[in-house]
Amino acid sequence: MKTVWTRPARLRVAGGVLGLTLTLGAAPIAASAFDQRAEHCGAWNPTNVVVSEFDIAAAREIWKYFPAMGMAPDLAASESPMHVVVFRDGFDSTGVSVRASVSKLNGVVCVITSSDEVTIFTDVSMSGAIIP
Amino acid sequence: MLGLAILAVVRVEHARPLFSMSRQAYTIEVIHSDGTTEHLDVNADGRACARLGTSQQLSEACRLALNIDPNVIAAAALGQLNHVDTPALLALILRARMSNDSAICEKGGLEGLRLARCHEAVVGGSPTFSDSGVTIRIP
Repeated sequence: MKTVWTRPARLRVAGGVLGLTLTLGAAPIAASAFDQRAEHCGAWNPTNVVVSEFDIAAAREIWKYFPAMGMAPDLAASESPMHVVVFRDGFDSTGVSVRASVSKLNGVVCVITSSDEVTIFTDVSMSGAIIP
Repeated sequence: MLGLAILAVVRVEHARPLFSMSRQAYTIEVIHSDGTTEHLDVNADGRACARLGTSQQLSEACRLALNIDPNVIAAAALGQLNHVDTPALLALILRARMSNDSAICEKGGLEGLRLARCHEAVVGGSPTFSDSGVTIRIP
């Protein structure tokens, strides 16, 4: 599942992605330590624990980090740099997604463009994932 | 003296890249329609892959398999890795077989039936792949 929105004005939801999720093993980043941009992804909610965030030089490189992540035509076609935020399973989408009733999401990966467009992918498979 | 002491403790650390862009040459066999086989030595420049030119799938897989990092190979599928048969899938199988390392299948993010196919290719007999009239065999 993919939720896309631009904060604060635009908000939209896009179609589904795939399968299997695994709990991330990396140590979470302290709430006060996350990048300001992670807030756009919902890190302002203390329930949403940021496991890792990092920059990628081009959106299409997201699959180097998450090779089993499903299709995302917008990213595949983009050479733009992006900021990536990975959340611990149990992401609470309340207040950050139009699907307000959906909470406790797993495999949540959020990408932010340089123009602050935010895309949240859920149920991202962590098979073969490399999380800096 | 003090300067020397400071120099002794200051060290520049270079971050290790997350992904290896290293390439490794390999050899495959091309099986022609008349049944004859030809050894194809694929050097790091990948030029030999042009010999598979009538099959875009195989020639792309041939080039991708030069990469030793499974994540670099898998990323070429742009999210279709576990959905359709892509050159990246074949390249992962090639790389795993040639490295005799089935862990490459997992590291590349393969799942389900495609993961099983990759494992089979590593431990089984020489697997063959055909596309557009071209057949290759991984020794």
